Amino acid sequence: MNPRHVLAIARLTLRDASRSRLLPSVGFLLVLVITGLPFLITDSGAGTSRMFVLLRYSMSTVLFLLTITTLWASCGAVAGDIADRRIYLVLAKPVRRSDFWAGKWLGILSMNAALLAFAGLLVWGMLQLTLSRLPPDSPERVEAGTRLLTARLALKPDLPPEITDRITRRELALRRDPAAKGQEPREMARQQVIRGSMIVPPMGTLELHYSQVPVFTPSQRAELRCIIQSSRPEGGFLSGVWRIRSLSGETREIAFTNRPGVPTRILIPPFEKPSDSLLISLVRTDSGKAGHFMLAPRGEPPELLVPAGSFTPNLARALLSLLFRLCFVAAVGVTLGCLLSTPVSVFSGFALLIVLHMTGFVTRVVSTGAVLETHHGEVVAPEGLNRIVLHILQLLDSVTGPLAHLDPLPLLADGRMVSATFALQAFAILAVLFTLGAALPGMRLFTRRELP
Amino acid sequence: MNPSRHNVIEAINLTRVFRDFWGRPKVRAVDGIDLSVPSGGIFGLLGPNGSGKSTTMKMILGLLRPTAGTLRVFDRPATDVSIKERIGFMPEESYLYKYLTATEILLFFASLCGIPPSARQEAVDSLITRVGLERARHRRIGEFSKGMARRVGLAQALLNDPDLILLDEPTSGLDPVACREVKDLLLSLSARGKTILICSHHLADMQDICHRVAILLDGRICAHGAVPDLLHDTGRLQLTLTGLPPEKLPGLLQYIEKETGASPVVDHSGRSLESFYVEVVSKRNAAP
Repeated sequence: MNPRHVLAIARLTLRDASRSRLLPSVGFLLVLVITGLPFLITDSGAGTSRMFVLLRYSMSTVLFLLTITTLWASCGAVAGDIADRRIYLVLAKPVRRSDFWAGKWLGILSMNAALLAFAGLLVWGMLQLTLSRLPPDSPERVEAGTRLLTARLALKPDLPPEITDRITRRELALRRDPAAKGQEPREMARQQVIRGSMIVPPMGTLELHYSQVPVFTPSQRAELRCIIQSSRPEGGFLSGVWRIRSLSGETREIAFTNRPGVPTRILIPPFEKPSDSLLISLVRTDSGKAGHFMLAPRGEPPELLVPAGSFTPNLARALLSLLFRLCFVAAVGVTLGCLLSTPVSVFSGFALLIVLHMTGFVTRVVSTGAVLETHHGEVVAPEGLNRIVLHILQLLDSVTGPLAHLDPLPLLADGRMVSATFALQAFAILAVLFTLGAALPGMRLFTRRELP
Repeated sequence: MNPSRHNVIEAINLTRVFRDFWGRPKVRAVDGIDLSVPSGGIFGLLGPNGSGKSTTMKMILGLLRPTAGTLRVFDRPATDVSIKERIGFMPEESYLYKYLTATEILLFFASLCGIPPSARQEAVDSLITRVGLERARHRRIGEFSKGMARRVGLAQALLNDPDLILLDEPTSGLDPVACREVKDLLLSLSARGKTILICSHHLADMQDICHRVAILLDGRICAHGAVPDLLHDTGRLQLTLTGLPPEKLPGLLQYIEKETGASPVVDHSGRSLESFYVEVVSKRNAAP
């Protein structure tokens, strides 16, 4: 591959796209979505709710728009060059077809990177503007700083040694069981043990120890999140006291009254001295009518969200992770554009995107192993067909899984840390592995393709 | 001595069959042709529409692969990318990016040709002047007439100072003056030792400039050779007299008939319309 050729083709693609109507149209749509959606969706008119809409819905719509733009532009740029025969002039020069592929990909990606950066800046500006309009020291401003414009680490409580031992024993037993293949049974066994250890009897107490807490300033606040279920949900409200003690002995107490199964979010009042470990106890104060409290009904113990960084770098890392996703989309688009006509490649690309976002369906089918089944779980597809489709869906699951897992937007909207490790993972999996997976066959087939 | 050393292009039994979706043969566009294009000079590939000229040219450029036979350009397979450093190509239509200006397009192709950045602008400026687009250099291609776009197409084909220039219908869409300029340009390039292969069915233009031609029909070569050899008619002679008084013509004709036994045909040939048109337009353009 010749980098000089790749850069020249990328520059040309970028210049051509920037002068067509595509770039201003998408830019206008982005402005509309980012500035308009927070006013369209929020009904309370509260600043924090507008900020949440910006981070969750506007950013999701931005990603959706840019995904479509990337796919459309990449399919069109290549298939259009082939259909209009502009490619003849380029390939009549000493240019390899792989250079042409890479140049188109880089050009389209650069255009979308510019659009993404523009959207990111606009979102950031809108957030700062909304924040500046909130009165200083108002609960809304504290809420915005604590829950949205921050980067929090999610900590799980340390599991006592006897629980860890029990999990290890269960895992060893499962390894010897030939019927329990894969990661899923082991994960289920782990969750089962944790669920059993997070039960609080009437008038009882449960202690959760969180170590390795990052040091945060006294003005910042940690948040405890959990779902408390009860063994007798008809027993009414659940009540008790959360007692939080720092390493220096400072204690904060927060009383609570909840319905069973409703997610609980508790903002912990700041401590005077920083502490790198917290002991959180749940003390039941109810009458016991609700039976046993279960703190990990889904096998996930209560998590402690602790401020660990500032918002702007977090947003930058999230945008970078989104760009890595667009790398993959552009590679799919350029490959399709190299092999098919513009309408067919755009249609195929959109169909593929829809399938790639059917994460739930694919995962369910792959986990059950049955492609077509009735409500009673009876498999109705012939075994051969079932096996073929299952293999295809397993392949698809290996793509949809990481795509769903490496989406930074839910983390961003929840004020959670989009870590450098997360961005690196997105780079390695989406920008390198997936992109090469789409690029190499695309380049190979394009090199073999004849251009009559 | 290997005879192919003198040939820039050498095709042996070159065949190209286009197939349908199911892989069944649909059209035999080029049917086992043997073609040798010697180094230097202008070679014309003539023939009606659909005779296989453009398909042959695309195979020379490596855009299409031969179904059978061999094709070597500069003694290498036609699919070898490195040979394109020595090739310039102008397609039948001007396939250009309509949002870019003439200068931007040519700078782009200059970078693909490997011209150093410091020399690119100069090379582009010189070619723009050579094809007569100085006034339109900063206009977008989308605003160009067909003839102007053809000039950009010709300029990009000459950017890398190629040894082999492939031109598909180079004079199509050009006005007579531009057509004459292009033909003069090609003759001057040929005089510099460049090899030029032209596909066309404009026979008058081809006769003006081609040294050798091959006529393709239904994918096969029907005739080929040097133009004077192909057009040479030993039974005919053309005598041109300038300044002959009209009253002396009957006597002259009688004398020829008596001496040779052949009846001469008198043709008061004037100038060609092309040269007359070029003169009128040139005079008008030169006027203040």
